[in-house]
Amino acid sequence: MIYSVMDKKNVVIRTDNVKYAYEDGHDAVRGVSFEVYKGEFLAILGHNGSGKSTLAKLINALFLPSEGEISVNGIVAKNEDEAFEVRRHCGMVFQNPDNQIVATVVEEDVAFGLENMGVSSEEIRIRVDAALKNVGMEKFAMSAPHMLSGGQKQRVAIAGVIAMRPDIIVFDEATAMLDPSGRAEVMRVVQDLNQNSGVTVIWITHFMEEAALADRVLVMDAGLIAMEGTPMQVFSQVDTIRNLGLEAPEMIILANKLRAHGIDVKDVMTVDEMAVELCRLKS
Amino acid sequence: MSIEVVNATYIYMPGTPFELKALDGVSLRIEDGEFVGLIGHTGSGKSTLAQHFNALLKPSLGSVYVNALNLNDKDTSLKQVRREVGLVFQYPEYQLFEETVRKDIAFGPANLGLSEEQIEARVLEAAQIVGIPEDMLDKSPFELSGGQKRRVAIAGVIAMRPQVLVLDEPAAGLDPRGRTEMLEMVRNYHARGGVTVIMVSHSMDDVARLCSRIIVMNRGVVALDGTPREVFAHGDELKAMGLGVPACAELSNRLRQKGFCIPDGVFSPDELAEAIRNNLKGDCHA
Repeated sequence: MIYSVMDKKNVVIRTDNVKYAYEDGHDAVRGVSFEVYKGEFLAILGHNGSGKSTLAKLINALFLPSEGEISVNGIVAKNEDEAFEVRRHCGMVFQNPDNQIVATVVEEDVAFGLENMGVSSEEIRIRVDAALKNVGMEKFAMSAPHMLSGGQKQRVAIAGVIAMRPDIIVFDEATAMLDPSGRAEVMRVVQDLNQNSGVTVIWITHFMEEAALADRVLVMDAGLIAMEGTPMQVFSQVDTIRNLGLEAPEMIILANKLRAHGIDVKDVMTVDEMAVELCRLKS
Repeated sequence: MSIEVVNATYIYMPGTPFELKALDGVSLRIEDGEFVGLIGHTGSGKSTLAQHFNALLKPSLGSVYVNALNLNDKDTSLKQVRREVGLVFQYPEYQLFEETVRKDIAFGPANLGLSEEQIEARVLEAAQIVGIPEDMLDKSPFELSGGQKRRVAIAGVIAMRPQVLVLDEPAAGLDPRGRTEMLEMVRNYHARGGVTVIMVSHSMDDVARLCSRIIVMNRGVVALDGTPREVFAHGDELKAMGLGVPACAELSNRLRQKGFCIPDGVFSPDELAEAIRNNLKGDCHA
């Protein structure tokens, strides 16, 4: 388990009774209030249609709330200019890497956002090199994006976002279309950004094993926050999790079954922790 | 309907700087009625192999036989083979194009020269198999959720009544409930009988739950082939191939090293909890 450098006194995002209805009248988010702390790794879970992707787009000011208020680094976006300002502080990485890559050479793709911000070319060079190094893609600077694997493309998309130096990055199911090794690559890069560069991470996912690595988990259901807590607090409620259309990590399910057999195991979430715990009980 | 692959090699873009040997002398036989999981990480050759099963690709070297028909043979009707071996691509929902769900499912059968009644019967049957309710048939496919769209796309292939159904990553990108429902649907379709199902996946958990046989591809060759129990016994090799091992299978391996006796190939929480209880309560029968 990782613990990032989270500063609970320092709130970077505050949402206050946020609601969002689409034009067709669908209430995707129905009154959500929570805070995100500086340096935190916050996972947001929920089945399809629970409102979690809408919430991501609200945080990033791609959508403005129908009701309520969101403040990002103290900025409350009420118009396009303020929304633009929010997006400078809060970057976003989407699910499909193919939809996020615009250039035909990796380093040009990473530079794309900076060029639009009017950053000088010397500064662009420095930031692009640093961003590619951050995601371990410096060797591919001159490659064509379409020749890369899914995990590599997604790392290029992340480099494009971190080159803009946001304090916060929202990842909207950024690993959903990747294979297990691609998922692991992207997860490693994001954990590194969080722990070593202090980037606040909002990680929207369907994968429980990824959420298990977060500092804190929010579970969305029907446009509301259904559960909130550390991964252990949330996942140990196996039945509630299942009723919300999700599945607790296998080791927590196993721990519950062991307890039903009268074996008193401590709370564990990973295979390593379970192995240690069972060896302790055996000796 | 059986499928036999004999020493098949497939090379993408031969003679160019991008030349890539995706299959390297693959031989295997899939029997009528089997439910096979074809697994491997990206680039292992599993999707390339799947596309050989209905002659979308033909081997550069070697042969593929579907019911003893050699797909390389000029006299073999590829049209007929493709009717009998249905292939559902990854993210098939991107292939929907008709105005209504009904028309989309009917597209394939309509090209078989069937009567209106026969087409309608097939549409209803396929929709029922994939769990699309009748009142959804007159909607536009684009009004549906992602999971529903994918079901409609699969129904379009099932409506052709293939004897072999090949699904490439049918659960990719779905949420946990969507995954479970999709996999249940595939399981039930196979359980109706009379069909061979081949499911391509990179999720060990998914194939472990469903398939009676797992074929693991790595670098264009068959690396492992056996029951889930046999395959998961090779935990370290699987990890080296970039494949996850289900958490319970990994814990079993770990506990064995620590002197627990856990029967071979345990991979569900229920089985493992029982084995652990037997160890801790001094009642070991391994």
